Amino acid sequence: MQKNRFLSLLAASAVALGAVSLAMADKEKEQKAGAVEIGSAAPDFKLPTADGKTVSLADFKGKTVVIEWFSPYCPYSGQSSDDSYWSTGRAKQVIDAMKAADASAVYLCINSTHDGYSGKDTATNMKDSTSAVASSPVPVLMDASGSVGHAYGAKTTPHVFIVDGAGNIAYIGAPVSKDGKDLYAANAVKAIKEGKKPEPARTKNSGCGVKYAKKA
Amino acid sequence: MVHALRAIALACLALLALGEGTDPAPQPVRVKDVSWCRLDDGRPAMLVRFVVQHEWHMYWTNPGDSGAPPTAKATLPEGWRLGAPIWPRPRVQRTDGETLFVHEGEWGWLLPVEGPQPRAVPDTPIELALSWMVCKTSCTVGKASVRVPPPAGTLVAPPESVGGSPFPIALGPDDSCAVSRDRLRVRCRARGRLSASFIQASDPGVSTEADGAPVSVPVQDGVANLDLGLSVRPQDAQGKELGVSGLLLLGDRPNDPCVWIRRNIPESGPAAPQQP
Repeated sequence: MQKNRFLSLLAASAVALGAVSLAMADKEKEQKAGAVEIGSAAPDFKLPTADGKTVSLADFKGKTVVIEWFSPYCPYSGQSSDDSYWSTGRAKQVIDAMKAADASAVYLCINSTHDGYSGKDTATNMKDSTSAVASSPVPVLMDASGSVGHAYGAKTTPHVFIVDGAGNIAYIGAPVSKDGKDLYAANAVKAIKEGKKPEPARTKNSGCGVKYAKKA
Repeated sequence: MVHALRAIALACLALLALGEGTDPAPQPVRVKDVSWCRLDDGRPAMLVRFVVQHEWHMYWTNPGDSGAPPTAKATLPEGWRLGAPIWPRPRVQRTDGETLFVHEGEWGWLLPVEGPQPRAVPDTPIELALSWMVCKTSCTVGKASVRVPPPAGTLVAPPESVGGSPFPIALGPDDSCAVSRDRLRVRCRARGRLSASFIQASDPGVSTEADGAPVSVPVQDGVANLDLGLSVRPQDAQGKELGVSGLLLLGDRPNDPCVWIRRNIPESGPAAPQQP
């Protein structure tokens, strides 16, 4: 009788352990599944802009779309600093070169900073961005829940994903090289326009971590 | 009455301004000093000592999921250049689904200086421009310019560690390392440690099966055995030589030793054993 109870307990423990292992494996899978890869279909999104419009990826079907993860609080992204992608004019260089290579290509920014970061909501936090962003024609889409950022696997600001006309991911990484000499994103758009695969298709991104909302 | 109030208000403003001027916000990073030393291979090097304020961190050569490593530029005489920096063991920080490789507190950064002759030392001062990213819950950037006088007297070896963060050691004669187009295999004495892990540096065009995350390395009979799958994409190498590099972290304490590994990827063929 006691032996049976012991065996039952052992079996129950094994099942519980198995469940925990599976849950952990599922969590890892879920985390990995949340990142796109070169050649995978770009997740669609529909997000509000800072000025109240709505933009979706589907709006640009057939066009090459450059998506840059952006933060008004990051000195490598939208905040003013000697290293800022926007305030140093590097973003403008990339956008100009991109347009020269493919006039129909589209450049979007997504801000996945959570509500309440730096004590402000996402609508007002955009006012802290540099004038370089505000005065550019690039729309900044607000993703306060972080769902789009997680779907792409955006880690830093800046972090660039380029979607080709067929809706697939063609480039992931930094918008420019560290010294600013190689305009990776613009070169990738040029390659896509010429019917080639971008080389490099992957570069190491760096910058501030995306300040996602904590998962419940 | 109005004049009196205005005078009081002006006095208050003046005091506030004075207060701001005399009590600047402390910077999260300061360069404690820069000194000269000589590396095992004979090259002279500048040892930069950073001090990072509590709760803030700077980044290793591969920052991990986010961040950026510090950079150095130097005005050097004709025919001289800075070599690749030597990074001490970073701390692996896992928070909010991110894995970061960071430096905290006091730590040292070795900047080799390469001249026309292997052991030559510069005889003029060097202007060293340092810049860095430092983060806590938010990030900021900092810069410093340091005039480094030429070395005086005999140069000695760098310390084994600064602030408790050890510099990497090389593979020993009993260790081995082999690399092929798709695998990196390292056997290394664990130096008394019971666990080990490997973190990859930034290698354009070469990624590991761990995709940037630390890899747990089994330790058996006092030997750490790393067997890691590689994925090589020459088209992503950005014109650089294809290679795999990183640190084998022996043990899990911040002051445990670490071993620097760097091997070029062969053009083709099976893994060939290479001398340490």
